[in-house]
Amino acid sequence: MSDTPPTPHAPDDNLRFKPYTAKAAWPWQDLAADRATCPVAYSAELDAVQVTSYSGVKEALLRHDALSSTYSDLWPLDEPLPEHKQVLGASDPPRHTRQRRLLVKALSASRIQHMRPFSERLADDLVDEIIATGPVFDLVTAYARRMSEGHVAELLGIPSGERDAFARMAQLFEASIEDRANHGFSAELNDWITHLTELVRSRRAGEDTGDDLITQLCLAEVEGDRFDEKEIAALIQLLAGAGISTTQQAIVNLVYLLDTHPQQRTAYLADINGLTTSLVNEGLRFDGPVLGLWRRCLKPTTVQGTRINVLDKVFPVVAAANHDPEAYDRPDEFVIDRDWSALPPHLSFGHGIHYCVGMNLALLELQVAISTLYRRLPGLRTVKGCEPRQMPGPVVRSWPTLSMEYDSPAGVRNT
Amino acid sequence: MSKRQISGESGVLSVDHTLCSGTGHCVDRLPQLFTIEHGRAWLADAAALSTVDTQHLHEVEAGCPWFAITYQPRPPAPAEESSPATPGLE
Ligand code: SF4
Repeated sequence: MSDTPPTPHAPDDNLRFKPYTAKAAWPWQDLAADRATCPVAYSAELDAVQVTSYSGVKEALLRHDALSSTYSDLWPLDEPLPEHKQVLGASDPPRHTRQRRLLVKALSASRIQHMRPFSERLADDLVDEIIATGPVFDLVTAYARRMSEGHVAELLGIPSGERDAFARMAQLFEASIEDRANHGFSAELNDWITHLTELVRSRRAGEDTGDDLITQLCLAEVEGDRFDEKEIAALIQLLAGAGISTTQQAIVNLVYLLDTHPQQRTAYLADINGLTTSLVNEGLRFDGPVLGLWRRCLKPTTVQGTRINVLDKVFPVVAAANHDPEAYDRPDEFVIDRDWSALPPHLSFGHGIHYCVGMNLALLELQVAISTLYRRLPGLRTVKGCEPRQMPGPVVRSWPTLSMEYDSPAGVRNT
Repeated sequence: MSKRQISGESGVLSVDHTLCSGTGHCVDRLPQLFTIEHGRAWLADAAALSTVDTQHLHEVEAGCPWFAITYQPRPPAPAEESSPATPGLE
Protein backbone atom coordinates (compact mmCIF):
# COMPACT_ATOMS: atom_id res chain seq x y z
CA MET A 1 0.00 0.00 0.00
CA SER A 2 1.37 3.44 -0.85
CA ASP A 3 1.68 6.13 1.79
CA THR A 4 1.45 8.92 -0.79
CA PRO A 5 -1.39 11.25 0.10
CA PRO A 6 -4.08 11.62 -2.54
CA THR A 7 -4.00 14.64 -4.83
CA PRO A 8 -7.16 16.69 -5.30
CA HIS A 9 -9.56 15.49 -7.97
CA ALA A 10 -8.87 16.47 -11.53
CA PRO A 11 -10.14 20.02 -12.16
CA ASP A 12 -13.75 19.93 -11.15
CA ASP A 13 -16.17 21.93 -13.30
CA ASN A 14 -19.06 20.85 -11.16
CA LEU A 15 -18.01 22.80 -8.12
CA ARG A 16 -20.64 25.45 -7.51
CA PHE A 17 -18.54 28.33 -6.15
CA LYS A 18 -18.06 30.46 -9.30
CA PRO A 19 -16.86 33.86 -8.14
CA TYR A 20 -15.57 34.91 -11.58
CA THR A 21 -18.31 33.77 -13.90
CA ALA A 22 -21.44 33.62 -11.72
CA LYS A 23 -20.83 35.19 -8.33
CA ALA A 24 -23.85 34.54 -6.15
CA ALA A 25 -25.19 37.35 -3.96
CA TRP A 26 -25.33 34.83 -1.09
CA PRO A 27 -22.83 32.02 -1.74
CA TRP A 28 -23.38 29.90 1.41
CA GLN A 29 -25.40 27.15 -0.26
CA ASP A 30 -22.90 26.80 -3.09
CA LEU A 31 -20.02 26.67 -0.66
CA ALA A 32 -21.84 24.09 1.49
CA ALA A 33 -22.40 21.93 -1.58
CA ASP A 34 -18.72 22.15 -2.51
CA ARG A 35 -17.68 21.32 1.06
CA ALA A 36 -19.96 18.29 0.99
CA THR A 37 -18.53 17.18 -2.38
CA CYS A 38 -14.93 17.57 -1.26
CA PRO A 39 -13.52 20.13 1.19
CA VAL A 40 -10.13 20.17 -0.59
CA ALA A 41 -10.85 20.10 -4.32
CA TYR A 42 -9.29 21.41 -7.51
CA SER A 43 -11.56 24.12 -8.87
CA ALA A 44 -11.50 24.70 -12.63
CA GLU A 45 -13.08 28.13 -12.10
CA LEU A 46 -10.30 29.24 -9.75
CA ASP A 47 -7.58 27.11 -11.35
CA ALA A 48 -6.60 26.40 -7.76
CA VAL A 49 -7.08 24.03 -4.87
CA GLN A 50 -10.20 25.28 -3.15
CA VAL A 51 -10.46 24.62 0.60
CA THR A 52 -13.90 24.96 2.18
CA SER A 53 -13.96 23.26 5.62
CA TYR A 54 -13.22 25.07 8.89
CA SER A 55 -10.41 22.68 9.82
CA GLY A 56 -9.01 22.70 6.27
CA VAL A 57 -8.91 26.50 5.99
CA LYS A 58 -7.28 26.77 9.40
CA GLU A 59 -4.71 24.16 8.46
CA ALA A 60 -3.92 25.83 5.12
CA LEU A 61 -3.47 29.21 6.82
CA LEU A 62 -1.06 27.66 9.32
CA ARG A 63 1.05 26.11 6.51
CA HIS A 64 2.96 29.31 5.79
CA ASP A 65 6.20 27.33 5.51
CA ALA A 66 4.90 25.66 2.32
CA LEU A 67 2.02 27.87 1.17
CA SER A 68 3.63 31.19 0.33
CA SER A 69 2.01 34.62 0.34
CA THR A 70 4.71 36.23 -1.80
CA TYR A 71 2.75 35.69 -5.03
CA SER A 72 0.22 38.10 -3.41
CA ASP A 73 -2.67 37.05 -1.21
CA LEU A 74 -5.09 39.21 -3.22
CA TRP A 75 -4.74 37.85 -6.72
CA PRO A 76 -3.11 34.78 -8.27
CA LEU A 77 0.07 36.15 -9.83
CA ASP A 78 2.37 33.96 -11.91
CA GLU A 79 5.52 35.45 -10.40
CA PRO A 80 6.33 36.52 -6.86
CA LEU A 81 5.88 40.23 -6.17
CA PRO A 82 9.02 42.39 -6.37
CA GLU A 83 10.71 42.33 -3.00
CA HIS A 84 9.77 45.83 -1.86
CA LYS A 85 6.11 45.01 -2.47
CA GLN A 86 6.29 41.90 -0.33
CA VAL A 87 4.75 43.44 2.74
CA LEU A 88 2.75 41.88 5.56
CA GLY A 89 -0.04 39.76 4.07
CA ALA A 90 1.97 39.44 0.86
CA SER A 91 5.20 38.30 2.49
CA ASP A 92 6.72 35.24 4.14
CA PRO A 93 8.99 34.95 7.18
CA PRO A 94 11.57 36.19 7.99
CA ARG A 95 10.68 39.40 6.10
CA HIS A 96 7.12 39.19 7.36
CA THR A 97 8.19 38.67 10.98
CA ARG A 98 10.45 41.71 10.89
CA GLN A 99 7.69 43.95 9.49
CA ARG A 100 5.00 42.64 11.76
CA ARG A 101 7.10 43.03 14.90
CA LEU A 102 7.18 46.76 14.24
CA LEU A 103 3.43 47.05 13.96
CA VAL A 104 2.01 44.90 16.73
CA LYS A 105 2.65 47.36 19.54
CA ALA A 106 0.87 50.26 17.85
CA LEU A 107 -2.01 47.98 16.89
CA SER A 108 -2.35 46.00 20.13
CA ALA A 109 -5.67 45.90 21.98
CA SER A 110 -4.29 47.97 24.84
CA ARG A 111 -3.12 50.79 22.52
CA ILE A 112 -6.14 50.84 20.23
CA GLN A 113 -8.52 51.30 23.18
CA HIS A 114 -7.11 54.83 23.51
CA MET A 115 -8.68 55.63 20.13
CA ARG A 116 -12.23 55.08 21.41
CA PRO A 117 -13.01 58.78 22.11
CA PHE A 118 -11.77 59.68 18.59
CA SER A 119 -13.86 56.87 17.15
CA GLU A 120 -17.05 57.91 18.94
CA ARG A 121 -16.61 61.55 17.96
CA LEU A 122 -16.03 60.70 14.30
CA ALA A 123 -19.11 58.44 14.17
CA ASP A 124 -21.24 61.18 15.74
CA ASP A 125 -19.87 63.80 13.32
CA LEU A 126 -20.69 61.61 10.32
CA VAL A 127 -24.22 60.91 11.56
CA ASP A 128 -24.67 64.68 12.09
CA GLU A 129 -23.73 65.21 8.44
CA ILE A 130 -26.15 62.53 7.30
CA ILE A 131 -28.93 64.20 9.31
CA ALA A 132 -28.02 67.61 7.90
CA THR A 133 -28.23 66.45 4.28
CA GLY A 134 -31.56 64.64 4.43
CA PRO A 135 -33.12 61.28 4.99
CA VAL A 136 -31.70 59.38 1.98
CA PHE A 137 -27.99 58.61 1.79
CA ASP A 138 -25.46 56.06 0.54
CA LEU A 139 -24.19 54.15 3.54
CA VAL A 140 -20.88 53.40 1.82
CA THR A 141 -19.76 56.89 0.83
CA ALA A 142 -21.48 58.90 3.58
CA TYR A 143 -20.54 56.72 6.51
CA ALA A 144 -18.64 53.42 6.22
CA ARG A 145 -15.90 54.67 3.92
CA ARG A 146 -15.30 57.87 5.87
CA MET A 147 -15.33 56.07 9.20
CA SER A 148 -12.63 53.72 7.91
CA GLU A 149 -10.52 56.40 6.23
CA GLY A 150 -10.67 58.56 9.34
CA HIS A 151 -9.37 55.80 11.60
CA VAL A 152 -6.49 54.81 9.38
CA ALA A 153 -5.46 58.44 8.83
CA GLU A 154 -5.57 59.08 12.59
CA LEU A 155 -3.55 55.96 13.34
CA LEU A 156 -0.90 56.81 10.74
CA GLY A 157 -0.75 60.45 11.79
CA ILE A 158 -1.61 61.92 8.39
CA PRO A 159 -1.61 65.72 8.84
CA SER A 160 -5.17 67.09 8.90
CA GLY A 161 -4.66 69.18 5.75
CA GLU A 162 -3.68 66.05 3.81
CA ARG A 163 -6.48 63.72 4.81
CA ASP A 164 -8.59 64.19 1.68
CA ALA A 165 -5.57 63.57 -0.51
CA PHE A 166 -4.74 60.53 1.61
CA ALA A 167 -8.26 59.18 1.09
CA ARG A 168 -7.82 59.62 -2.66
CA MET A 169 -4.49 57.78 -2.54
CA ALA A 170 -6.13 54.89 -0.71
CA GLN A 171 -8.79 54.70 -3.42
CA LEU A 172 -6.16 54.66 -6.15
CA PHE A 173 -4.30 51.95 -4.35
CA GLU A 174 -7.43 49.84 -4.11
CA ALA A 175 -8.12 50.44 -7.81
CA SER A 176 -4.59 49.26 -8.52
CA ILE A 177 -5.33 46.05 -6.63
CA GLU A 178 -8.37 45.39 -8.77
CA ASP A 179 -6.73 46.38 -12.05
CA ARG A 180 -4.52 43.36 -12.38
CA ALA A 181 -3.65 43.94 -16.01
CA ASN A 182 -1.35 46.90 -15.44
CA HIS A 183 -1.38 46.94 -11.66
CA GLY A 184 -2.75 50.46 -11.96
CA PHE A 185 0.35 52.29 -10.96
CA SER A 186 -0.87 55.54 -12.38
CA ALA A 187 1.18 58.71 -12.36
CA GLU A 188 -0.98 60.05 -9.53
CA LEU A 189 -0.32 57.03 -7.35
CA ASN A 190 3.38 57.22 -8.10
CA ASP A 191 3.34 60.86 -7.00
CA TRP A 192 1.83 59.76 -3.73
CA ILE A 193 4.45 57.11 -3.22
CA THR A 194 7.11 59.78 -3.79
CA HIS A 195 5.30 62.02 -1.31
CA LEU A 196 5.21 59.25 1.30
CA THR A 197 8.89 58.60 0.78
CA GLU A 198 9.58 62.29 1.40
CA LEU A 199 7.40 62.18 4.52
CA VAL A 200 9.51 59.29 5.77
CA ARG A 201 12.70 61.24 5.06
CA SER A 202 11.51 64.34 6.88
CA ARG A 203 10.39 62.38 9.94
CA ARG A 204 13.75 60.67 9.99
CA ALA A 205 15.49 63.98 9.78
CA GLY A 206 13.59 64.99 12.91
CA GLU A 207 11.64 67.75 11.19
CA ASP A 208 8.42 66.17 12.24
CA THR A 209 7.72 64.22 15.39
CA GLY A 210 4.81 62.40 16.97
CA ASP A 211 3.81 59.05 18.35
CA ASP A 212 1.82 58.12 15.26
CA LEU A 213 2.46 54.96 13.33
CA ILE A 214 4.37 56.54 10.43
CA THR A 215 6.85 58.12 12.85
CA GLN A 216 7.20 54.86 14.72
CA LEU A 217 7.88 53.00 11.48
CA CYS A 218 10.43 55.61 10.45
CA LEU A 219 12.36 55.50 13.67
CA ALA A 220 12.06 51.85 14.60
CA GLU A 221 15.02 49.56 14.37
CA VAL A 222 14.79 45.80 14.40
CA GLU A 223 18.00 44.06 15.33
CA GLY A 224 20.01 47.08 14.31
CA ASP A 225 18.50 47.58 10.89
CA ARG A 226 15.95 50.12 9.73
CA PHE A 227 13.30 49.93 7.09
CA ASP A 228 14.14 51.48 3.79
CA GLU A 229 11.87 54.28 2.58
CA LYS A 230 10.31 52.22 -0.18
CA GLU A 231 9.39 49.47 2.22
CA ILE A 232 7.73 51.93 4.60
CA ALA A 233 5.86 53.56 1.72
CA ALA A 234 4.63 50.10 0.66
CA LEU A 235 3.56 49.30 4.23
CA ILE A 236 1.61 52.56 4.48
CA GLN A 237 -0.07 51.88 1.15
CA LEU A 238 -1.02 48.42 2.28
CA LEU A 239 -2.39 49.59 5.62
CA ALA A 240 -4.36 52.26 3.81
CA GLY A 241 -5.62 50.11 0.95
CA ALA A 242 -6.39 46.95 2.89
CA GLY A 243 -7.29 48.57 6.21
CA ILE A 244 -9.81 51.01 4.82
CA SER A 245 -11.68 48.85 2.33
CA THR A 246 -12.05 45.79 4.56
CA THR A 247 -13.52 47.63 7.53
CA GLN A 248 -15.73 49.67 5.23
CA GLN A 249 -17.08 46.44 3.75
CA ALA A 250 -17.53 44.85 7.17
CA ILE A 251 -19.67 47.81 8.32
CA VAL A 252 -21.81 47.75 5.19
CA ASN A 253 -22.18 43.95 5.20
CA LEU A 254 -23.35 44.04 8.81
CA VAL A 255 -25.86 46.84 8.28
CA TYR A 256 -27.29 44.97 5.28
CA LEU A 257 -27.52 41.78 7.36
CA LEU A 258 -29.50 43.61 10.04
CA ASP A 259 -31.65 45.13 7.35
CA THR A 260 -32.47 41.75 5.83
CA HIS A 261 -33.07 40.09 9.24
CA PRO A 262 -35.76 42.30 10.82
CA GLN A 263 -36.23 40.14 13.93
CA GLN A 264 -32.54 40.28 14.76
CA ARG A 265 -32.59 44.00 14.09
CA THR A 266 -35.46 44.51 16.53
CA ALA A 267 -33.61 42.46 19.16
CA TYR A 268 -30.49 44.58 18.62
CA LEU A 269 -32.38 47.87 18.96
CA ALA A 270 -33.76 46.65 22.28
CA ASP A 271 -30.28 46.07 23.76
CA ILE A 272 -27.60 47.91 21.78
CA ASN A 273 -25.12 48.05 24.67
CA GLY A 274 -25.49 44.41 25.59
CA LEU A 275 -25.40 42.96 22.07
CA THR A 276 -22.88 45.02 20.07
CA THR A 277 -19.87 42.77 20.78
CA SER A 278 -21.59 39.51 19.84
CA LEU A 279 -23.36 41.19 16.90
CA VAL A 280 -20.04 42.32 15.45
CA ASN A 281 -18.56 38.82 15.86
CA GLU A 282 -21.58 37.28 14.19
CA GLY A 283 -21.48 39.84 11.38
CA LEU A 284 -17.84 39.00 10.71
CA ARG A 285 -18.59 35.29 10.80
CA PHE A 286 -21.73 35.39 8.69
CA ASP A 287 -20.59 37.92 6.10
CA GLY A 288 -17.08 39.22 6.67
CA PRO A 289 -15.30 41.41 4.11
CA VAL A 290 -13.09 38.63 2.74
CA LEU A 291 -14.28 35.51 0.94
CA GLY A 292 -10.87 33.91 0.70
CA LEU A 293 -7.14 34.51 0.20
CA TRP A 294 -4.58 33.28 -2.30
CA ARG A 295 -1.57 31.16 -1.48
CA ARG A 296 1.07 29.56 -3.74
CA CYS A 297 2.60 26.20 -2.86
CA LEU A 298 6.42 26.37 -2.84
CA LYS A 299 7.11 23.09 -1.01
CA PRO A 300 5.17 19.83 -1.28
CA THR A 301 2.65 19.69 1.55
CA THR A 302 -0.78 18.39 2.50
CA VAL A 303 -4.03 19.95 3.64
CA GLN A 304 -6.44 17.59 5.41
CA GLY A 305 -4.35 14.72 4.10
CA THR A 306 -4.64 15.83 0.48
CA ARG A 307 -1.42 16.47 -1.39
CA ILE A 308 -0.64 19.96 -2.66
CA ASN A 309 2.05 20.14 -5.33
CA VAL A 310 4.73 22.75 -5.85
CA LEU A 311 3.36 25.79 -7.73
CA ASP A 312 -0.27 24.80 -7.12
CA LYS A 313 -2.42 27.79 -6.35
CA VAL A 314 -4.40 27.35 -3.17
CA PHE A 315 -7.50 29.29 -2.20
CA PRO A 316 -8.67 28.82 1.40
CA VAL A 317 -12.28 30.04 1.38
CA VAL A 318 -12.56 31.78 4.73
CA ALA A 319 -16.27 32.48 4.21
CA ALA A 320 -16.93 28.77 3.73
CA ALA A 321 -15.06 27.91 6.93
CA ASN A 322 -17.22 30.40 8.79
CA HIS A 323 -20.33 28.56 7.64
CA ASP A 324 -19.10 25.04 8.35
CA PRO A 325 -21.61 23.10 10.50
CA GLU A 326 -18.66 21.34 12.14
CA ALA A 327 -17.72 24.63 13.76
CA TYR A 328 -21.09 26.36 14.20
CA ASP A 329 -24.59 25.30 15.03
CA ARG A 330 -27.14 26.64 12.47
CA PRO A 331 -24.27 28.08 10.40
CA ASP A 332 -26.47 29.70 7.78
CA GLU A 333 -28.59 31.57 10.32
CA PHE A 334 -27.66 35.07 11.40
CA VAL A 335 -27.91 34.91 15.21
CA ILE A 336 -26.72 38.05 16.95
CA ASP A 337 -26.57 36.72 20.52
CA ARG A 338 -24.29 33.71 20.12
CA ASP A 339 -22.07 33.05 23.14
CA TRP A 340 -18.68 33.64 21.52
CA SER A 341 -16.74 32.61 24.61
CA ALA A 342 -17.91 29.06 23.92
CA LEU A 343 -17.42 29.06 20.13
CA PRO A 344 -14.39 28.60 17.91
CA PRO A 345 -13.23 31.97 16.54
CA HIS A 346 -14.49 32.93 13.09
CA LEU A 347 -11.71 33.05 10.52
CA SER A 348 -12.50 36.45 9.01
CA PHE A 349 -9.29 37.82 10.51
CA GLY A 350 -7.43 34.79 9.19
CA HIS A 351 -5.40 32.42 11.32
CA GLY A 352 -1.73 31.95 12.10
CA ILE A 353 1.10 34.39 11.51
CA HIS A 354 -0.87 36.49 9.03
CA TYR A 355 -3.76 37.01 11.45
CA CYS A 356 -5.11 40.48 10.61
CA VAL A 357 -2.79 42.94 12.30
CA GLY A 358 -5.55 45.55 12.22
CA MET A 359 -8.01 43.36 14.12
CA ASN A 360 -8.23 45.54 17.22
CA LEU A 361 -8.75 48.69 15.17
CA ALA A 362 -11.34 46.98 13.00
CA LEU A 363 -13.28 45.72 16.03
CA LEU A 364 -13.31 49.16 17.63
CA GLU A 365 -14.45 50.79 14.40
CA LEU A 366 -17.17 48.26 13.79
CA GLN A 367 -18.52 48.37 17.32
CA VAL A 368 -18.62 52.15 17.41
CA ALA A 369 -19.88 52.53 13.81
CA ILE A 370 -22.79 50.13 14.25
CA SER A 371 -23.86 51.13 17.76
CA THR A 372 -23.76 54.87 16.98
CA LEU A 373 -25.65 54.43 13.73
CA TYR A 374 -28.53 52.43 15.26
CA ARG A 375 -28.65 54.43 18.47
CA ARG A 376 -29.11 57.67 16.55
CA LEU A 377 -31.02 56.41 13.52
CA PRO A 378 -33.15 53.55 14.87
CA GLY A 379 -35.50 53.72 11.90
CA LEU A 380 -32.63 53.07 9.47
CA ARG A 381 -33.53 50.89 6.46
CA THR A 382 -32.57 50.36 2.84
CA VAL A 383 -34.55 52.41 0.38
CA LYS A 384 -37.42 50.41 -1.13
CA GLY A 385 -36.34 48.62 -4.27
CA CYS A 386 -32.63 48.88 -3.45
CA GLU A 387 -31.03 45.62 -4.50
CA PRO A 388 -27.29 45.86 -4.07
CA ARG A 389 -24.95 43.78 -6.20
CA GLN A 390 -21.79 42.04 -5.06
CA MET A 391 -18.41 43.14 -6.39
CA PRO A 392 -17.09 40.43 -8.72
CA GLY A 393 -14.10 38.24 -7.91
CA PRO A 394 -13.17 35.58 -5.37
CA VAL A 395 -11.45 37.64 -2.66
CA VAL A 396 -13.90 40.34 -1.67
CA ARG A 397 -17.39 40.40 -0.12
CA SER A 398 -18.63 43.89 -0.76
CA TRP A 399 -21.81 45.81 -1.56
CA PRO A 400 -20.33 48.81 -3.41
CA THR A 401 -23.36 51.03 -2.64
CA LEU A 402 -26.28 50.77 -0.23
CA SER A 403 -28.98 53.40 -0.49
CA MET A 404 -30.58 53.98 2.92
CA GLU A 405 -33.15 56.19 4.64
CA TYR A 406 -34.31 56.75 8.21
CA ASP A 407 -37.25 58.12 10.14
CA SER A 408 -36.99 61.43 11.92
CA PRO A 409 -36.37 62.50 14.57
CA ALA A 410 -32.83 61.24 14.87
CA GLY A 411 -31.24 60.58 18.25
CA VAL A 412 -28.85 63.07 19.85
CA ARG A 413 -25.05 62.80 19.98
CA ASN A 414 -23.35 60.77 22.64
CA THR A 415 -20.11 62.71 22.49
CA MET B 1 -4.63 30.40 39.54
CA SER B 2 -3.85 32.04 36.24
CA LYS B 3 -0.62 33.98 35.84
CA ARG B 4 1.31 36.01 33.28
CA GLN B 5 4.61 34.27 33.97
CA ILE B 6 5.54 30.79 35.14
CA SER B 7 8.88 29.11 35.56
CA GLY B 8 9.82 25.49 35.85
CA GLU B 9 12.71 23.15 35.20
CA SER B 10 12.53 23.72 31.46
CA GLY B 11 12.56 27.51 31.64
CA VAL B 12 10.38 30.59 31.93
CA LEU B 13 7.19 31.21 29.95
CA SER B 14 5.46 34.57 29.94
CA VAL B 15 2.65 36.50 28.23
CA ASP B 16 2.89 40.25 27.70
CA HIS B 17 -0.56 41.72 28.21
CA THR B 18 0.33 45.01 26.57
CA LEU B 19 0.65 43.04 23.32
CA CYS B 20 -1.72 40.06 23.70
CA SER B 21 -4.93 40.57 21.76
CA GLY B 22 -6.71 37.42 22.86
CA THR B 23 -6.66 35.59 19.53
CA GLY B 24 -6.44 32.16 21.19
CA HIS B 25 -3.76 30.61 18.96
CA CYS B 26 -1.89 29.63 22.15
CA VAL B 27 -4.96 27.91 23.62
CA ASP B 28 -5.41 26.04 20.37
CA ARG B 29 -1.88 24.66 20.56
CA LEU B 30 -1.46 24.14 24.30
CA PRO B 31 -4.82 24.14 26.09
CA GLN B 32 -3.17 22.60 29.16
CA LEU B 33 -1.06 25.76 29.60
CA PHE B 34 -3.14 28.68 28.30
CA THR B 35 -6.61 30.04 28.91
CA ILE B 36 -8.32 33.21 27.71
CA GLU B 37 -10.00 35.45 30.22
CA HIS B 38 -11.24 38.98 29.62
CA GLY B 39 -9.67 39.01 26.18
CA ARG B 40 -6.13 38.09 27.27
CA ALA B 41 -4.15 34.87 27.54
CA TRP B 42 -3.25 33.56 31.00
CA LEU B 43 -0.95 30.76 32.07
CA ALA B 44 -1.83 27.74 34.17
CA ASP B 45 0.09 26.66 37.24
CA ALA B 46 3.85 26.23 36.94
CA ALA B 47 3.50 22.47 37.41
CA ALA B 48 1.91 22.26 33.97
CA LEU B 49 5.07 23.64 32.34
CA SER B 50 7.07 20.51 32.97
CA THR B 51 4.43 18.40 31.18
CA VAL B 52 5.06 20.21 27.89
CA ASP B 53 7.82 19.42 25.45
CA THR B 54 10.20 22.38 24.96
CA GLN B 55 9.74 22.11 21.18
CA HIS B 56 6.05 22.90 21.67
CA LEU B 57 6.94 25.87 23.85
CA HIS B 58 9.11 27.26 21.06
CA GLU B 59 6.27 26.67 18.59
CA VAL B 60 3.67 28.42 20.72
CA GLU B 61 6.04 31.39 21.08
CA ALA B 62 6.58 31.58 17.30
CA GLY B 63 2.87 31.07 16.61
CA CYS B 64 1.61 34.09 18.55
CA PRO B 65 0.57 36.70 15.97
CA TRP B 66 1.18 39.51 18.46
CA PHE B 67 4.62 38.29 19.65
CA ALA B 68 3.19 38.38 23.16
CA ILE B 69 4.64 35.05 24.29
CA THR B 70 8.23 34.64 25.44
CA TYR B 71 9.81 31.31 26.27
CA GLN B 72 13.28 31.35 27.76
CA PRO B 73 14.69 27.87 28.10
CA ARG B 74 16.77 27.23 31.18
CA PRO B 75 20.39 26.52 30.25
CA PRO B 76 21.24 22.83 30.68
CA ALA B 77 22.66 21.95 34.08
CA PRO B 78 26.40 21.28 34.07
CA ALA B 79 27.31 17.62 33.64
CA GLU B 80 27.90 15.79 36.93
CA GLU B 81 31.48 14.72 36.34
CA SER B 82 32.66 18.22 35.45
CA SER B 83 34.36 20.31 38.11
CA PRO B 84 32.02 22.16 40.46
CA ALA B 85 30.68 25.33 38.93
CA THR B 86 32.38 28.48 40.07
CA PRO B 87 29.83 30.84 41.56
CA GLY B 88 29.39 33.95 39.45
CA LEU B 89 30.60 32.35 36.20
CA GLU B 90 27.37 30.64 35.17
S1 SF4 C 1 -1.67 33.65 20.72
FE1 SF4 C 1 -0.70 35.52 21.53
S2 SF4 C 1 -2.16 37.19 21.12
FE2 SF4 C 1 -3.25 35.24 20.89
S3 SF4 C 1 -4.18 34.90 22.91
FE3 SF4 C 1 -2.24 33.78 22.89
S4 SF4 C 1 -0.78 35.22 23.73
FE4 SF4 C 1 -2.56 36.44 23.20
